[in-house]
Amino acid sequence: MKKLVFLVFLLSFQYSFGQEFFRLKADVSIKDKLSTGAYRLTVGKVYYNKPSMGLIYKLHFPQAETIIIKDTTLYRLDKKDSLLASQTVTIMNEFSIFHLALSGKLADYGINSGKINGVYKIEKVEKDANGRVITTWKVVEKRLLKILGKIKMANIDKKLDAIAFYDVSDKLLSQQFFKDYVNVKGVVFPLQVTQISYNSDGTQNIQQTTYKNITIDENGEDTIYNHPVPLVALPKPGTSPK
Amino acid sequence: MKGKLSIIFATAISFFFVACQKKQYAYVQQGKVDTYAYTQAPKAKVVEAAPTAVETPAVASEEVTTATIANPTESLTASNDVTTPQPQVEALKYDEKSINAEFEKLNKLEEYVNTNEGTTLADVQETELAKDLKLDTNVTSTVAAGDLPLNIPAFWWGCVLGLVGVLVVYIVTDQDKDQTKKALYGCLVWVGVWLLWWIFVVLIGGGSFFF
Repeated sequence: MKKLVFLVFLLSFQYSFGQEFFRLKADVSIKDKLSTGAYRLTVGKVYYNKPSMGLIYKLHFPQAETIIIKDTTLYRLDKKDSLLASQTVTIMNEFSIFHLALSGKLADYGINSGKINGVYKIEKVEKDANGRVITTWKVVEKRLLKILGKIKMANIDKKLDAIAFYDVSDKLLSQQFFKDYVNVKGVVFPLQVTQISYNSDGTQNIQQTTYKNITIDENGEDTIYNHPVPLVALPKPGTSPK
Repeated sequence: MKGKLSIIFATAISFFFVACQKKQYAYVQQGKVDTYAYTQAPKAKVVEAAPTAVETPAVASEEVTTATIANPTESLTASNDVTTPQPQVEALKYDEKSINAEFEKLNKLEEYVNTNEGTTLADVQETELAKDLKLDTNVTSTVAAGDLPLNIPAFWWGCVLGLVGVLVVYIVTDQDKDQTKKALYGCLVWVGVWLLWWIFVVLIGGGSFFF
């Protein structure tokens, strides 16, 4: 009986202080510099609904269109919400910056929870010259030892400052930098995220995402947050309906 | 009958080589096998002691360098680096100036688009803002930048998992030709590295292991 009371106490404690956030909206501007020398600019608004794990981009540049990423499928819709294209992606919204920020797990990139809990284990914790806490995570899941390399993280004041992904031979694959954190209604979110991916030929792709006007737990705009996923997939070229 | 025998013989040879390779690799990992660089070490000492007229100083110094390699695995890593050059980048260090310089050309366009909501590419395509920019409009690639499994670039999927990796990339990118091509290059690099490894380490360095 005492254990039960203690458990109820613990749960009530968690619910009292561990506030759950469920929605995030922001103006987004994504700049890409590709290794080919080409640039990309993508501007619009991003909406994330945590309960349905739906990620929606309402873009106006380079052209007005809506992109929905849900359940490993990406849908492109035109201005009139007609399906332009769909494709399978392996983005897990559960590990998007939006979901991690709303869940308060961005500090360790959610590496120690959810589906990948148990895949990585802390190998080393140290401090660098700038006072950042550098944590090295190594793969402990046997089946993934030959595929995944270590991950290094830098944290300042318990906020994720940078993360670096390596391959199994300790070559740097990509790294991300999280800058200009703001606290909106208790959600800590970086206004600038820069990702650099390194190619084997020594070139690199850089993507810099800037967020503005972050809104948390907005009421309204339900039609966008819960944007219906197109039911009819486009027929593939060369196929005809039976 | 002869056909069957030759197939069985070829299969047996393949198994033998694979087994040898695995064993050799394990020994190399443990530092128990002489690699090319490692086996040259004693020769370097000989060169130092009594250099011949044919050998140039450059060759001698190269040999001395190889002689200083204490761990044979390091030389393997070094040879891989030559095959797939990597940029010397300090991890977790944000070089703001360099990043800003990369986007210098794009910043003006971004500023204009942000202050004029609703602006599309069609509105600015012929203006000075976009004139000198080589603009790519593949939005899907932008928002799905990390769409490959585990955030690993296509090249490495091919390089690490070979043809299986190429197939994974082909499926998950919904038959994206560019990504599949990168994975294929990775696969080819892996084959090249494997062949080099086989030739240099097994046939030359590890010759004593077999004979």
